[in-house]
Amino acid sequence: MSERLLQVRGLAKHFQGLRAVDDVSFDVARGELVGLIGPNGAGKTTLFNCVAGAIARTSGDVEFQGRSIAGLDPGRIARLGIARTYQNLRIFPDITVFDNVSAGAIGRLGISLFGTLIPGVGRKRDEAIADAALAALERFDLLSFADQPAGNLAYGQKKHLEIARALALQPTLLLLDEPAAGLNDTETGELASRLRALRDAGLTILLVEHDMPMVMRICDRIIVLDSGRKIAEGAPAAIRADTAVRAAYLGDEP
Amino acid sequence: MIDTFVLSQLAIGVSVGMTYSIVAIGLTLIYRVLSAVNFAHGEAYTLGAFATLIGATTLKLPLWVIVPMVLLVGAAFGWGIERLAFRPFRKFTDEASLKSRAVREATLLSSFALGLVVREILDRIYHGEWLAIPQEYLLSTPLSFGGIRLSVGELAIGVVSVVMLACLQFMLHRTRTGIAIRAVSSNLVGAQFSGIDINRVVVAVFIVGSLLGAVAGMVVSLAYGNVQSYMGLTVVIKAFVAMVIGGLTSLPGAVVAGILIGVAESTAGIFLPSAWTEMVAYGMLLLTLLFLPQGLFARRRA
Amino acid sequence: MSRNRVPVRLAFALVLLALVPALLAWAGSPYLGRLAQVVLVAIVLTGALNLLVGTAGLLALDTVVFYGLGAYAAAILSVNAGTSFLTNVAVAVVLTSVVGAICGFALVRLTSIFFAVATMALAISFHTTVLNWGDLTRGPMGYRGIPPVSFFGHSVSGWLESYYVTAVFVLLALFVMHRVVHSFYGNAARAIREDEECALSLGLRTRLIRVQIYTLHAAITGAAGALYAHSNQFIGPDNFVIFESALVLTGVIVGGFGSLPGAVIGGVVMVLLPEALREVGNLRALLFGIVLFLSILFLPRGLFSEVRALALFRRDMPKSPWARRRPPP
Repeated sequence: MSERLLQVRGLAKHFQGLRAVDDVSFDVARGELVGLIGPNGAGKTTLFNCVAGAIARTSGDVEFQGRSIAGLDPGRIARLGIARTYQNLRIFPDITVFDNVSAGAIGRLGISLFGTLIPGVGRKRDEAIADAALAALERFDLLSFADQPAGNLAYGQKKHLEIARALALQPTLLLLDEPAAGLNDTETGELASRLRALRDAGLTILLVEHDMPMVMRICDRIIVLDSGRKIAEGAPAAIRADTAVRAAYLGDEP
Repeated sequence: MIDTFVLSQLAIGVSVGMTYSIVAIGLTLIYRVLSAVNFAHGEAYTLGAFATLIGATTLKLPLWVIVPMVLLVGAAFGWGIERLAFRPFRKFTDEASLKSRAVREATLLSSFALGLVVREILDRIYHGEWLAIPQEYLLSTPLSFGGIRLSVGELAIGVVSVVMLACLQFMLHRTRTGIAIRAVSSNLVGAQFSGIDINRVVVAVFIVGSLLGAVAGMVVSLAYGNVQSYMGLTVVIKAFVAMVIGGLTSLPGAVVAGILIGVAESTAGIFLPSAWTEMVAYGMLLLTLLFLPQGLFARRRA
Repeated sequence: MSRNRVPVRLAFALVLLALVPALLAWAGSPYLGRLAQVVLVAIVLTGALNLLVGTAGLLALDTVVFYGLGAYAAAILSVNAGTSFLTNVAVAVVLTSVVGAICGFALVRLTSIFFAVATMALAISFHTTVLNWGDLTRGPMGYRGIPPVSFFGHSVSGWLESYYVTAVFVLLALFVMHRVVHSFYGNAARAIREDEECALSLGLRTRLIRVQIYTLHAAITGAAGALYAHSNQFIGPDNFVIFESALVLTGVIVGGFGSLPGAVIGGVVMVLLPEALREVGNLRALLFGIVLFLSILFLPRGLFSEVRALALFRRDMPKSPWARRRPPP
């Protein structure tokens, strides 16, 4: 049995009467590529935000590598090894591509004012940060854009930049919120193979997506949310055939 | 038995506080619509006072002519500030662009700059002196209510403030413009969908706020008899404090907070030399910002 | 790209230490010598504020608080306790660092405009305190008789020596600022400025870094204050009005948010411009308001934008990991 990297237990988030996430439980095992799908408004991004610590959960628990992370601040959670991207693409448009990615590397390796002020003291760490940033850029074919302001990139490249930046954190778990949104077929295909490659290299990925073909193709397992509740979980083939899932998406009665 | 001196001080404190309230309302209205601070707002107050001065000394107009003149000056100033310091930074009227951090900071600085320019121009023209309003216009007759001493002017400030608040309430709830303002303040997207022109609402908010400020300046200058180019600056800073303490987006909150500040100042004035009473407002601001980020009357966010 | 290109930093140091004094000596005017010193101090103040406002993205008007703290600390100590110049500077730095750390810790969680107004309130409160706490600060009369700058018994005399002391101080301060801005630390600060929530989700210690930068800004500004007290030998509350903070802020804006060369230019402009227009009368404040307004409207990125500045220093520092573009073969 693979190690359970992430355990979500009875997670709930209520907003003044609206149950955005309602008693959701699931596990993610190390090395899995799990897809989280559901109609709009199902609570997927809210769930992400709870796991990543961006918003406070109402109840329930989240365990990562055996320890509870519920209630920790997002910075702590990131340093523990969970990196995330955002649905609406949050990169730093006015600074260079290299600087964007190195921000992630700095997050992991830390930075000290003292080390910066005294020449020579922080050198080793700076080298490590630069190496990590360049490696992440290379992985996503963005090296040639390193010195350009990130805002100049094409949309698809920006999406990749965001993932590269998250990877500079060398996370154990990567949370991707709609990484394929706005990408054309070719770009989606590239993304899919990159994610597959990352998974094969040992990274655990939890992915929110609307692009069904991609999800079905690359995910080991799929979890389906509807109106804040988990309604199905299993291998892609099973999910495709699941009547409850169909009903949720298409409004059919089973 | 409370000393009547103390009561008089309290009454004056309420009256002065209402000045801060009125100016704070202008700031709050703008903040509700744009999430931005207008640091030139104090100059509406100053210009109202100067218009009164000019009307009384140079033009020698009767009071009933000065009042509409002040209203006109206030409205024109509000329109001008919006056009020069706020409009140029507003490229789009969707919520994210309207209230983006860059725009808010830019307009803070641009309004600060223009406010400074207006103050300095007045300073150059009038050489920074305190100028007196002619005796016959002044409302300085002392009154006494069972020992509580107040001048007509100080009472007038309170009365005029209440009247203005009532007019504002009427405007906000019974006129089309007022309802549009409330709609935009509470739900920008919804208001846009209903066909409300955001730009016109913004202009209206500036005009209304500056009108209120100008009238406050007029009444204060008549009550205390003098006018100076920097008078608006001290008031707007305290009005800003009132806005923050009142919860940033709450009009009743701003009013109550303004009165609180006025009362706190005059209470402090009983014990401390007047130079230190200035710090009361800043102290209240720092305490509020540190401990009560929502202010006293915060709106419950959905 | 020429290998023989003189690095910007070296060129600047040469200008400051060789070219400018030579020109001043040739002009032979003590007035210009004083003016040059004022410009130099303005450069430090603008640079220090730029760390906070530009690189860290926290609009602030508290320059005079720390400038004044440093100046009064130096004045009070040297006049009452006879301490040496270097001791006073050290005390000023420690004092402003501690106060800066406390204020920074309390204030950085405020959103941008409220942070700005809180610093404004601090500045006005500071001025009122200085003006009224006569027992400590001698109130409106100001502090006279501050001993001149001195090193190991030798008192600085004449404008040239005074200039060199200030110039060396400026170079040291700029060096510190340069190391902060053009480094991965500066990177982190810029990321936090751009999107704090996102930076946090990347594991950056946003609050800590902001407080550190605030403290550094306070310390450098405080040191400048101590230097000013000794080189001017007189300080008064009028030197520390909020207008001076606003002037420095305008220098940052005109020069360019987040750009160290921009801050240098901004500091120079904000001192020289009113001087050049002296004949027009005492229009300093009016001019400043107009310059501020026009800058925000037409030159939001300033005369030397951060993007240009960062690119410039990347070229200038090819061996630094921060500037590295390619992995080693």
